[in-house]
Amino acid sequence: MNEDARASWGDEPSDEALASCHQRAPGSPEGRSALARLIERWSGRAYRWAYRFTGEREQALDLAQDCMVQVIQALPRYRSQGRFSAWLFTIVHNRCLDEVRRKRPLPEPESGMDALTTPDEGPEERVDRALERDHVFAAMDRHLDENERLALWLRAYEGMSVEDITRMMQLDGASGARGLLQTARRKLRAALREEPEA
Amino acid sequence: MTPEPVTPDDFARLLALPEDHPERRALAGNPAFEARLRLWREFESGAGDRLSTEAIDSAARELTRRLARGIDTGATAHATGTRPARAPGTFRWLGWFSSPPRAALAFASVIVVIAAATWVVTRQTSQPVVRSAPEHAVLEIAAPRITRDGVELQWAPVAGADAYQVTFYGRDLTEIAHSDPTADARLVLRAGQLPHGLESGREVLAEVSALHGSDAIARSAPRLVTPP
Repeated sequence: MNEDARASWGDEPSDEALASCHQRAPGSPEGRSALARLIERWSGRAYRWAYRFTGEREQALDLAQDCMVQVIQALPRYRSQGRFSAWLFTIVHNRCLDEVRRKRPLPEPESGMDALTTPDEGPEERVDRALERDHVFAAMDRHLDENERLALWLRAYEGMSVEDITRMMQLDGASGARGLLQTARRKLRAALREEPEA
Repeated sequence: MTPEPVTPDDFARLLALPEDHPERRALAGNPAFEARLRLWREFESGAGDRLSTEAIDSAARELTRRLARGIDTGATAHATGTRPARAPGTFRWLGWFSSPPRAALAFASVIVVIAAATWVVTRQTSQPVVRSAPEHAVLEIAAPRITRDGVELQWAPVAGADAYQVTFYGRDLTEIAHSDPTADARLVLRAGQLPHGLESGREVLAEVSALHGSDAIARSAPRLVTPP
């Protein structure tokens, strides 16, 4: 168990301690109890996250169930020096992304965001593209606000639809993520024109 | 630029590092890392969520119930590709039987259930019914009370239980002591007479098991207690 896990042990064991307990003896009463506690602790969050992607209770329950089953199956491989909530979140988020990608066709490549895609290419092209991508990343970091960066990232890299991004980011307004993405693209294009790659 | 930390292990490892660690500093401004970091914070805190607490609690209970079935059978944790039964009304559970090992398991289960049912029916005519705890018996240790005798742990009796045993765990969740089985729904920890392994003033987790014969029919959630 790492020091963080020990330090956070207050009223009850930390996530990391429960995961370690389950890993040591998954079939024992203690191991099962630890697993049950982890499930109880994280099911609500998994459901909330799944709901952001589906917007509907039953679908969110099914998706959250799938997420938690993946977590349980991956638990023997969890390394206790890592932060448990971040580990679990990545599994849940990746599973939710898979689900929305499966249900909706992949978005068409974003104009001006080709640098973020990585098609099959040779070593030299890959180096060029990596440099170009770093340049785009730097421009995103300097010129876009946090919401614009996230929306653009979800669209161009995570492959989410505008509708899914609107729900995921819980954006209000008639245009939802569309307006945010248009602004982000406009700012990014202007920035890339003003700061051509060296 | 550092590759995007999108695997669970990478992201968990990075977040366990201090923010001024060179690896974390190298990721400053990386949209992939920043996006994941922001989403993880929202995931942890629930910031901006539009679901009511009641809706989340209700869903969490339903989810825990579904998953608990998998844990009870051991199927969730140890089988690959297995998922616990879904809510009634969705017929996807039928797909569970599509693989040969599962079909064989299901067939064996049916045989066992029929044999058990036959045995129960034949026994019921000649023997009294043995009461057991309901499927979802709740066993909860009340907040420990400090009395003149020591620290008292109490819990509500469980139908069908003929004894209770309290197990104590240390910070690393290894068992360090247990009480002798007792018919009382309480246990008093007395200074100088603590179960072997417990130390006065050292916090431990206590878990009570309701026993029917030698079988545990219900088990409580752990409760923090400081022996006197």
